[in-house]
Amino acid sequence: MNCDEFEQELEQSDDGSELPAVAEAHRRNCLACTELVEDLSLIRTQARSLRGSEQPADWVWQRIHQQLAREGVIKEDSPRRLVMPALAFGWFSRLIPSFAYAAVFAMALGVVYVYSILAPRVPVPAVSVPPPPNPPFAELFEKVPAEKRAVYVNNLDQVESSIQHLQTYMASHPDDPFAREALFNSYQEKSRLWEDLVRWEEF
Amino acid sequence: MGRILKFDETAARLAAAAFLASIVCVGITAAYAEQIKKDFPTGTKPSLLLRNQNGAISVKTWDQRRISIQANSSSDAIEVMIQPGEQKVTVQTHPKDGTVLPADAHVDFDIWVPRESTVHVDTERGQVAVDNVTGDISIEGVSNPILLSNISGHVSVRTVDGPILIRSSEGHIEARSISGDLKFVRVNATELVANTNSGTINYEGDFGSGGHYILNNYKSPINIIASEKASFEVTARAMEGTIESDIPLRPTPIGQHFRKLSPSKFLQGLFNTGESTVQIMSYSGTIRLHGPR
Repeated sequence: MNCDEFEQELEQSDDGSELPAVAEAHRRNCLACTELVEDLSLIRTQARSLRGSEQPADWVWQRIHQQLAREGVIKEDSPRRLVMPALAFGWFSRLIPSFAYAAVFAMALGVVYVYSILAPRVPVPAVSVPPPPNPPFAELFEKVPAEKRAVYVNNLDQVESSIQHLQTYMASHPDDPFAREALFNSYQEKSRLWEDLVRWEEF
Repeated sequence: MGRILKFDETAARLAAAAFLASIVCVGITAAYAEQIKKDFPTGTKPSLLLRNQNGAISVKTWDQRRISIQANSSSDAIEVMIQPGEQKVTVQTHPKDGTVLPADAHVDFDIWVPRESTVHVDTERGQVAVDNVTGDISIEGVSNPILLSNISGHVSVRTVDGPILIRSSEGHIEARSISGDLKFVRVNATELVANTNSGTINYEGDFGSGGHYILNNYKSPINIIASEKASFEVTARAMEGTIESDIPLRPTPIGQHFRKLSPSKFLQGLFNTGESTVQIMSYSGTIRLHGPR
């Protein structure tokens, strides 16, 4: 699955929390799509909190209207018409959260649109793999006796070779979680070799 | 003449007594003889910490609250330090000051500990065998062959190129090596993690205890021989290698999108009721799964 197909799946899902397994697997391996889901989730949460907020009562808007009229900012109409602005303000006040919600929704659409334009598709940084550990092995090798050094050098060469092969494989198979796990295993092996060398320096 | 002989005997006895007294007073024994035998009273769950550069190590258990140590040194240039204690006994070997040891210099250990002891061994060369310990075990080696049998505690073993064999054991087991082979026979673990870069992995047994088994390498074969009463759900993945299986697996209820791959690259299914979980992965090795013979 690529990023376009993922977005289509995302649009079809109700709230993005229940994606098909294939889409979920792609999300786990794709930094851009992970961020997209997180952003949409944040926007939804904010929008929900606005919808439930308390609104001032109609009499508050009437008081504001009367105060503005007393200060000459607006004209006080006849009593018959006074009811209408008050009602109108009440209606307007109820519109505010709706506008806010709509604005947030529009912003969400904007985010999706901007993502669709700006997100780097090729090559997508599909898997965020940290660089391999690179401690200064050469310095420790110099301190190790020759017969012991050969063991460590041979094993380090094997691990380095596996890291290179797995990195190449991952570049062409970014959706394979097994490859990522294998690469992390090789990283751990390299770190362990370093630990062993440090430990045996004490002997 | 007779007086002189008698004086010499007395002097020798006094010297020996003084030497023994000094050992007891200091509490740390520095022994330079070729063979050392020591016996210390302990609690029921003492810790044994052993650090030995080169030499065979055998740790066995008994139903006594004592730790017995017998060390056989190939050279008197190696110093054996033993620090006794009721809860912890520490043993360490190292060259005497300024001594450059020959490559074959070694100290072999035969050690008896209470069954529930905790055992920690740091070593570089020489076989390490631990049998029938129910406490936790930690072994860090380099080129050592490691043999553990009848173990039931938390086990952590790692080597650089030494092979690891674990037999008839239970508990939480981690076995890691860079190029050493890993072999497990009748291991029923709550969790088994076996990881090697270029070593072969062999497992023969039941995959029991409803445990979680993870067997990974980068290259070299991974061979599984499952017994008739084994019950597990297996997920196997060979990226550049292949999977060969003659185990009759039933499809798992929960699918995996890798299923569209060839069974020689990805295999998933249930054997019997699938009580344990088995995950096998190799980059370029061949994964072979064999059923009951």
